[in-house]
Amino acid sequence: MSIIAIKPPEFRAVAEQLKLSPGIVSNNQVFLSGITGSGTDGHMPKDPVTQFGNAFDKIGITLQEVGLSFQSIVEMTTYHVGLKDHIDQFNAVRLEYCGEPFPAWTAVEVAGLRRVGALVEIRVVANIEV
Amino acid sequence: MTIFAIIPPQFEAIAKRLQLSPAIVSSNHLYLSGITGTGADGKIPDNLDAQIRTAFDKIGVILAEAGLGYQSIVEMTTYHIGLRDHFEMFNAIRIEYCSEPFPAWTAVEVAGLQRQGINVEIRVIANMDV
Repeated sequence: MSIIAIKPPEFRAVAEQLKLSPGIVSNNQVFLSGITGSGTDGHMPKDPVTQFGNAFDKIGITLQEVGLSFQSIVEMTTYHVGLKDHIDQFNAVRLEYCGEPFPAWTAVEVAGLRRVGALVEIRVVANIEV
Repeated sequence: MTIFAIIPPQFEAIAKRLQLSPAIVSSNHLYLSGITGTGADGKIPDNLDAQIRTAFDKIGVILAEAGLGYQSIVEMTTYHIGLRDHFEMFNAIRIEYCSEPFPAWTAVEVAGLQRQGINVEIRVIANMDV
């Protein structure tokens, strides 16, 4: 089978409720659903840096489920509310997680995110062979 | 040749006018251009339910041209005007078209789309081997 859903135990309930895959392996690519910075308890922290760290931690959980780590990420699209205010903080957190070769990255300000209080939602594409 | 355009007959005119590929095969993935719910007659359906269904139907036409079905979709990014108002409706319709393993999905509210009255634009990546 050339496509396989990735459903870490932490995200199974929400995946089941919304009918989406937290991640999906498609040939040698891995596509992740958009990740916000809510905690695994569902709470959305007010502090931007805590949100950003949570988001990357959750990305790590999904990657880990198929044996990957942050160095497997090849592309990120990040959707922000308040990009100009928090870009430096976001980038500092991003650099704590990502290393060389850094992923391709596109960051845009959006008119809104679905989750109330969310400052960022991160879309990730990874390479299964790295 | 590892890339080639997918241009269903229904999309030939607009593809020519805008000079884009409705979809393009790149190695073993198919990348679709953003699809809205404009009808074949160029009109935007009066109600949102019909608009969303029209968008998914058009995605189906493009996938079919490449010999694929909705089960080939591995990732969707959806751009919305009124996301929080219509999320449940959108998701209910999405589930009618998509099935296990569900695609990875990122949904964001945007400041605008190309035509007044359009509430959603859908970007799709599919797996050519499924």
